[in-house]
Amino acid sequence: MSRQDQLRKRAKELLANKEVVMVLGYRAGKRPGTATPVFVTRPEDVDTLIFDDRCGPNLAAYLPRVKHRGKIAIVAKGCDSRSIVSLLKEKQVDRGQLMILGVGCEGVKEDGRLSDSCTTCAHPNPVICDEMIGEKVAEREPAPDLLAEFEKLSPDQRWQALMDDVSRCIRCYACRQVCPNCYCPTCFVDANSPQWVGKTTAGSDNMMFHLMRAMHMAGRCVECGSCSRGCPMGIDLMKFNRKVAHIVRERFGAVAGLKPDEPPALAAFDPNDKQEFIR
Amino acid sequence: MKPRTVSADELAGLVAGWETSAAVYAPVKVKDWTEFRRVSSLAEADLTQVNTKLSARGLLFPQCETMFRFETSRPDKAEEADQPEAQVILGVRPCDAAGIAVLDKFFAGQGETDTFYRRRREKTTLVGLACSAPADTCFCAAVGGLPAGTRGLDLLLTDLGGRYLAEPLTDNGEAAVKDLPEAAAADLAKKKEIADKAAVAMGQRIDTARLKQLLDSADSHPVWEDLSLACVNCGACTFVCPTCHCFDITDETSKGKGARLRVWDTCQFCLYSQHASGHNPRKTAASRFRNRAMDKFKYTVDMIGEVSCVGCGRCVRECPASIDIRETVETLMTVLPEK
Amino acid sequence: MARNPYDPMSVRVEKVTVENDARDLKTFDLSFTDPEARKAFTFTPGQFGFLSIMGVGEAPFGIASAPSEELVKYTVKRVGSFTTTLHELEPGAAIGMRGPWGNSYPFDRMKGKDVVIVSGGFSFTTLRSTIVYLLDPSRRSQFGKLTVVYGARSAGELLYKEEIKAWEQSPDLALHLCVDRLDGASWPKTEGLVPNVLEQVVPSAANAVALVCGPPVMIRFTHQVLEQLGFSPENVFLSLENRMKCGIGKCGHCNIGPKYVCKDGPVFSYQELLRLPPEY
Repeated sequence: MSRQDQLRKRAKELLANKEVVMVLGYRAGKRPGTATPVFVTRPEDVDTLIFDDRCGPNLAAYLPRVKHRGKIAIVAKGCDSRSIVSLLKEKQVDRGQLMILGVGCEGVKEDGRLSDSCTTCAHPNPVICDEMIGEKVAEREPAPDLLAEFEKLSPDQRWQALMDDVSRCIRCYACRQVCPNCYCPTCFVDANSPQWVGKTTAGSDNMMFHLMRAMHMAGRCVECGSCSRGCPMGIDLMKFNRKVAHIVRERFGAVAGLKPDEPPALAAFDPNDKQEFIR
Repeated sequence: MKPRTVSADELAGLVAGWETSAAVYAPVKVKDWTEFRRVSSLAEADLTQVNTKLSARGLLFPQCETMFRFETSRPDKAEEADQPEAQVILGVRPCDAAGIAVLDKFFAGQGETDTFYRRRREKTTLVGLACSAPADTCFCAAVGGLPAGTRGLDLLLTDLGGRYLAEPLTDNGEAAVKDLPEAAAADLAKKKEIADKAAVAMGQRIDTARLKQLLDSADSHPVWEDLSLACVNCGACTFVCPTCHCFDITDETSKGKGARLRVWDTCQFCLYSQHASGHNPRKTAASRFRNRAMDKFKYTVDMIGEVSCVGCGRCVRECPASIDIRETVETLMTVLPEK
Repeated sequence: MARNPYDPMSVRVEKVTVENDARDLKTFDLSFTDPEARKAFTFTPGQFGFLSIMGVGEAPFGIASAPSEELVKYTVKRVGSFTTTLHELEPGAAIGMRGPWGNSYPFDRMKGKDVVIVSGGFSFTTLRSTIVYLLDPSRRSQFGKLTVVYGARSAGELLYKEEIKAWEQSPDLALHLCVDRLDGASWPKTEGLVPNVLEQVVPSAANAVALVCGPPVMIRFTHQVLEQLGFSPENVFLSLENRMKCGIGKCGHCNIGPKYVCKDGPVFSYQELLRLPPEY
């Protein structure tokens, strides 16, 4: 039985036995090569469920929206499962109300090309799940260092490169809305007393938004790439998040969402934390 | 106003001419797509892609527009910001031009006139480019448009291969091509062939009149809950849409001076409808999703007499959750009861 | 050349009155810097204006003065950054104003009829304008009996205390004031919620039109009472509020379905509201 069939079969069972009220997964989008999150509540609808390289959106982002309905089964690829761990650590969702159906992921494709974040993925298999649907996939070849070119630049050149990127931002907040970690009822960009960030698309306002969002992601971003893929202007937002995640790995030895029992890197004080910045 | 033919060189000459008295905007290649940018010659333009990333609306209703400038010591006085300059927008696809025609009605054709929009519009010449090969996201014909539609344009160019047919539609358009040779019957026939083929490729017509009737009594239907679940309530669809018009007004100050600006806003943001008291009439994702679909296919019919979706397909292409408005419409037309 | 509808007119704060003990309700009486602008500023009760402070922002407020009064009156509750700045202003301060925008109460529909006005808290603003307008001797006889039920949480929260005390004595209208809790106060006379008082004092729905303006919960219960008394939906008019930015039906914020509260409202008949989505 193919993995897709296994998934449909299991989903049908879970719904028919009323073990879950909803299966949160993917269905084919109308456009070839796309997949849309689907919220299956009836056993007879499970045949819409798919899992393949079209399945880009991070489904963990939808959990806060549906958690009040009861026990939810969620299809979780590697990065999504780490987002679930992140949400569990931050008490945004209860472990007991999730039935995590893990799937190994060979990467998400957009327009036939493997998404950047997938080329560097070190955790294609779920780190947490109640059941695996199908086999685990092989860990991939050592990843290309997507930051290598950027790291060669001087600070001024880096600033210019980042400005060139964010100057095209239209402040649609697709990046923020698709991110499982961005669940604040009032985002800092929406606050007006005081107003932290201007609402215009001037370089400075855009840069403030992206830099600060990246900082808010420190130790939490699982590098799923949904933000970059979701950006209508094709901005390489992952450049920011990748760099911050890299710093967190170096300084705290932590990878977001990898170990359920570890406190979030920037939320826990450890006397052994490096402190060479204090002079 | 007779159709003319114009060679690529002659078009380059027209652009150079326009450039002496106006800013010329055209699609320019950016990464794998095109965006409207200012060009100083035709050579900088890329007229091969069907649709630009963002619609042409940003050149008439900018993402960020300074309305007034002021000194903070005089909170009651403001000066209008700089007047817009003349502009020619080259390579406007008929869907975008139809979108501008809708915005013309909305901003300057009913109720109060939006002064800022009107000023830019009066100084704008629209040179359209007919589509010969629609993308898989295009559906202008399904909503009453055409790949070679002329609505809203001053001049419509159709690429005949090696040269363009140029159809003037207004005095401005006629003035642009007055010195060019008239088109031959064969050119006109070729254009018709291209236009007809493109229209057929776009799929079935949506019965928008029936959809409007169904939507008239659909406010409380549970279908909105299901349709909206995958929507993350970002602004991608509304910001790329040629007819969305919502904006926020914000004051910014620095060192005693300031500006009152308007910036694009979207009914999809949760805070869009929130009162200062905290009360939010559209608190749920379902109500916001309903608002957008209803606005495009019912509310604008009520307000200005027409559907405001022009079938450009950008929302389909850019939605981060791959929600497809064509599917949404199909579902609505299947599920909503006739009254 | 038509005036830019986004460009505020210059006005001056002539008087500031603190309306309540909490000091978060203040009434501002404004004059125009340009007398020509004052002459051109004509409105009908029910309409609203935008107050503007360059550098801070703008917000919409119902006009509380009647068209016959020289100064333009607004009563403002302090709820956010703009209203806080406004509340700090002293007489002499210059600010901006845009308007008048919106529709008005349907005076043509009200002619020859009894008028029932129901209001709660600080929503009373445009109804003050309406009452002054109706009581004007030059037009009072065009309308029938005028019954007003106006309530608040406590006596301190009632607006325009001097005026409403005078109206209680006037033979030209029947004004019934009430508060949720009297707490030993000697005024007003009645302890009770607006919908309950309304039920007791409204004579009849026959040949009557109701104007209602108040917080959502008051409107809901008031409407139930009006319905029981026999008021049909096309004879009940509500003044709504919504998030606004432009005030002229362009920015989209205040829409309820295909209607903009700023342009097609803020006054809607209940009949109209029944045809709109439940998002207000």
